[in-house]
Amino acid sequence: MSDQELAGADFESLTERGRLAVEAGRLDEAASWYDAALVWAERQGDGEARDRAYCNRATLAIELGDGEAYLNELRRILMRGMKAANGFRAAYALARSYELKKDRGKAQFYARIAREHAELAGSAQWRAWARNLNGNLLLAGSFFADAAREYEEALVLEPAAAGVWRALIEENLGYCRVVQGRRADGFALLYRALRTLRRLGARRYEIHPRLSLCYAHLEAARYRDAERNGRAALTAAAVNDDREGRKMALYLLGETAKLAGDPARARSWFRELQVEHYPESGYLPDLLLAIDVRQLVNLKA
Amino acid sequence: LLLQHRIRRTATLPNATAPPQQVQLVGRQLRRLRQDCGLSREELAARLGLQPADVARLEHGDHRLSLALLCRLVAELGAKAESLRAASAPPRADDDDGPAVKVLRRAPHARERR
Repeated sequence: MSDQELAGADFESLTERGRLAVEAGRLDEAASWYDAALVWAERQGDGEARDRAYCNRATLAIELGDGEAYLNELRRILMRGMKAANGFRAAYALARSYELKKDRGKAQFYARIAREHAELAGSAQWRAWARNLNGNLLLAGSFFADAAREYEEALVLEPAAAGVWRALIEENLGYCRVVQGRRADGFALLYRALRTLRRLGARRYEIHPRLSLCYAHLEAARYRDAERNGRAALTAAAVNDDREGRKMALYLLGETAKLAGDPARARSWFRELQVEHYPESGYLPDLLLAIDVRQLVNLKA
Repeated sequence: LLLQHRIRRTATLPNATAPPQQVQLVGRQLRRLRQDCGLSREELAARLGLQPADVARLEHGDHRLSLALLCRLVAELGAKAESLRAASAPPRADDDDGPAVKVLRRAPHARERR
């Protein structure tokens, strides 16, 4: 964005454009809007807007796997504690960062702060996000019943209009339900989430319901549907350069082929998984062919 | 507060959905292998970066791992089992072991990336 364009813009519209781009899954575009909002706030000398823009940009960088450089400043924003709103944003971003690094202890610490700030700010949507975040941490720890309760609370709080985020919460809850053996509920939630994401054009996030649906169909012994969703997840992972998603898709496709009675194809998927992700674990294809580890693996851990 | 949170979560465990028989079977096999390897739950948990309670839940069939952690578990137990078997004379027959244990016993000495 040129200086002239920036001068003619206002902070709220730049931020809103960034938010819409995030919802649509256009994260690179969102980064440029948030960068512009940050420059705008710094030029205006508006500290509160600057912190808000910084938190938005940092959250995005964290999602893109490039957030390490932002963490210290996020902590400073949190410590300044001028506004509950920026406190929430900073704590949420920090919690999300540690969640992605699988450091549950620190993630829980910041998630609790985020929830307190959300309560303080009186925002139902932020309370929903905080619930969802806590649900994610419980889910990663395989506390499926507790996680499901958090997601249910989040859905009550989250306005129906917030389509993408609601769909992502439904997807999380749907996975919990399948793991808990409540497949009908799980399928309903997962397909609803997928339909919403497709309707809103948020293709980037489709990989999540696709992976969960692959697993759900696998549990229901519907191998064709499982393979269809697994392949869709694999394609989505390639489009978004999502290494973690590709890993799970390869594993699930291997399980699908194995249970469908095609060990040669299963070996091929497992071999691909091992070579790409666990090069030092040459035994993995044999292990996965010999043992059904579905009940030991948490797709969201 | 974190400790309180942990206690609260632990307190919910008895209400968790009862794990299917197959899961319990795999959990029991894991426990047996861990015990064969002479590892306490605390030791195995420390090697995997887990809480001992997580290992207990895994062996009971109500905890699940990421694929990466599952590989590390196999590498840890497999390597330990191999070293124990190599040290024993004559080599221990494992015909009575379940399939999980057999394959885990064949797992190489490979170390997962940290």
